[in-house]
Amino acid sequence: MLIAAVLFLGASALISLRLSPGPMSWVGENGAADNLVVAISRHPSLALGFQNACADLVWLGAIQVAGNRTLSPAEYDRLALLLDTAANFDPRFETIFLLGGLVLGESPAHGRRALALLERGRANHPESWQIHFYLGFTHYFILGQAAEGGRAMADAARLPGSPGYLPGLAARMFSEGRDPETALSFLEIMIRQEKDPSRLAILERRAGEVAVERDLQRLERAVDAYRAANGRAPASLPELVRAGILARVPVAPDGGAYQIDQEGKVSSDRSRNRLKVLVK
Amino acid sequence: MTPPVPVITVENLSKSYPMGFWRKRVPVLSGLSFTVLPNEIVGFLGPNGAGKTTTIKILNHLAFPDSGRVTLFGEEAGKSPNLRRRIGFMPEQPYFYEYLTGREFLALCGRLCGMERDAIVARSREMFDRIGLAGAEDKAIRKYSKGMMQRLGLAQALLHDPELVILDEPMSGLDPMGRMEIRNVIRDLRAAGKTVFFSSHIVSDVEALCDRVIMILKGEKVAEDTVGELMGCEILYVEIVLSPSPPPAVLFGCGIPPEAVSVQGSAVVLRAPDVDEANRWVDLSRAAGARVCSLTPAKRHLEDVYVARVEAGRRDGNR
Amino acid sequence: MLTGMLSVAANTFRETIRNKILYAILAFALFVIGMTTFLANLSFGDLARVVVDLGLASIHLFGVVMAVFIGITLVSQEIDRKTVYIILSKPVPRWEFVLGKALGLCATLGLITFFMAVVLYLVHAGYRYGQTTEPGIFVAAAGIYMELVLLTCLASFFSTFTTPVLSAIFTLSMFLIGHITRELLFFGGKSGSPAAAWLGKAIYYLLPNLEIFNFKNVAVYGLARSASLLLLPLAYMLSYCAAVLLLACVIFSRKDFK
Repeated sequence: MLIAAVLFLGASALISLRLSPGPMSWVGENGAADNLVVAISRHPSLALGFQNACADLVWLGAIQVAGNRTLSPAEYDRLALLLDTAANFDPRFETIFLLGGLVLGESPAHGRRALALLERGRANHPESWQIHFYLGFTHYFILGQAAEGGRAMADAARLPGSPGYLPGLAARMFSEGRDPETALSFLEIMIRQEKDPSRLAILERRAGEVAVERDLQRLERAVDAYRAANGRAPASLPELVRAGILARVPVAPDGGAYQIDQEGKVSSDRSRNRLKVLVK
Repeated sequence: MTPPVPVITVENLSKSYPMGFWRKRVPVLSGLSFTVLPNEIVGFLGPNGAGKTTTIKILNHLAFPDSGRVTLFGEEAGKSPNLRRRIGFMPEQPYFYEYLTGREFLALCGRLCGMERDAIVARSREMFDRIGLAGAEDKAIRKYSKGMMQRLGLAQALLHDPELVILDEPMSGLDPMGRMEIRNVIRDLRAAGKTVFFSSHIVSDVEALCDRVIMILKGEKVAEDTVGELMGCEILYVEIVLSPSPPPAVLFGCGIPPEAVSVQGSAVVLRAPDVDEANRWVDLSRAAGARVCSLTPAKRHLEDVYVARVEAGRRDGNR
Repeated sequence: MLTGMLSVAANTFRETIRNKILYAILAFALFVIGMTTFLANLSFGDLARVVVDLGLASIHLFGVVMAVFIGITLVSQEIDRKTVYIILSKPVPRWEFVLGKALGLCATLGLITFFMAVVLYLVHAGYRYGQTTEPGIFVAAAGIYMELVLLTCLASFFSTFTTPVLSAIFTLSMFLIGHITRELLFFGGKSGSPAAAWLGKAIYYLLPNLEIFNFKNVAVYGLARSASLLLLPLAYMLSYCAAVLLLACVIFSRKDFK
């Protein structure tokens, strides 16, 4: 009897394994459930007093999306929707806006949405220097709006609790172009003031990408100099060192290696895509 | 001498209940009147569905009559809850909070009646002994048998030592021993000066216990009298047993009609139509050499009266 | 004075506290409160907030389930099982019986809510390794409890005149409507017709407004730390419950037991 019961239980578990579409997701992956939650979030009182709990659950769903290593454009869309929904339920939840600005900003196509979310955050948290800081970062490095970026950064610098070196950074933003070095300085500030390990991981990932871009731009400049001197592209990167143009071949922060092809195009073997906003 | 104040007076009581989908009102009681005097045991007899339980609910203020008047101890029923302190009630097939133990349940009932803690403890112990539940005090009521529930129902009705005890079908579901015990409790109550009003559809219980019987049928009273009156003082016939006896032919010769004679083994049984005839037949048969063994007057049983009335009621109903 | 009511209340407390269903629901609620720490680990950002939000939500949700499903059986089960005959044949006025039943369940719910709140407080404190504690949990739990008391009174009221199933439906509807009355007022005002606006207003002020007991959403931001927040909601709850229970007593006093 007991054995039969265990067998049936095992059989049902197998069937359930067959039927389930894959890894579990928090806020249902199917559109209908999402749409319902989104619709309810437009009238938060329909959450029957459970607004915060709903915000948390949607937020957990958003984090599952944001935690992926690489996100497809559709996933960025979904993330933006979930973050908007969570913010509808609980606009006081500051982290929603920060995460939105941080992760959505990674996708060039979603820069505007990142900005919209951060502006919503600013309306709800005018006293938060981080939101102003993120706004400035997004304006400047994602959307290439140097003036707005500088203004937001200056606002952030005036707010209580903001680090003392912010005014200097804001000044650098006004004077310099979209330089990966400047972006890295900003990221380092964020990394320094971030205590949460998961958000820290996102920031470090982002800093790694910027560092790769900085190295690639440096290598490109060296290749250009080599081509100007020798009339052809170098066959390999160490050749640049031997020619005295580079001190050494940089090592990519993500552990990848840089390479060069016949036409002299440099790339990283790890990250295929360039951070377009930083390319001049 | 002024007549005693009746314990229960019911005057012209009528009650109907809405039934079925259309909520049509179906009469349950129509114009019922009776009284119960102090220190009486009154049986309330009727077939199932006659309106006994409804009447008892009205007496306990659980249901409200459409018209008519009920007084208890000369006061309008239901006016003051204090009146109910003088009444003990046991509903039909009582059911209690099964998560309580018997002792806890009696304690609750005692508190509801406003009894003191010490009195509750003492009375509960007494009740458990008296109604044969000793040993089951701390058992959860969930585990009680039907007979034990019935006994507990009686215990809670008697706990606060009420002057009037109203019992709805107290004997139903009991074994012969249990019935005997409950009969004894009811008799003790009368000896203690209490008044008992109980309903039953079992004639023998009523006959064995009651001073008076109120018989109802379809919400109307069909008889109210002492048990003796209802059963009739008149004797249906007298049974004379002769043993040893001369052969029946000899008795026929003395003038005893043959249809009244029957032989049972070695004895001869004569069935005389009345007392005078029986006296005559005894003389005749003794003169013929017979020995009178026993002489029994056969009275009407309450059961016969009851059956006759119920059947008459059915005929009326069908007409 | 009122010994009848207090005895009935004590007995109801004992009845509900010995109810196995109560413990099943309680165990599940505690399980969910414990689970919130795992959910919080999935999050980033303000981790402890998830514990408070979801913990309070489960206290609320399971509290409502207990209040409704035990509340509707309070009176109707006594009638079904005819135990009410025994109680009412004693010198206990019917209104004392109704009040005693409601009071008894409120006592049980109070104990259970307090217990769940303590567990949540400890889980939350433990999650942050005692760095910060949130007394707002108790204020929010007190708000939840007031809502439960109101729902219990409504459930008792419904169960004096209708079946348990219908009472459950009515009470749950009251719970749903009670949280969206503001929305009703809004739609009533939007419809343009003065009659609809007036009706919306009437409904808004007559139906229970359960949102005023809701401190769950602000507790996490440390905005619910003062017990004085509870004073006006308490006054609202007391007067609303008084109205509902008085109606229940009136109906029950006229009830004919068949």
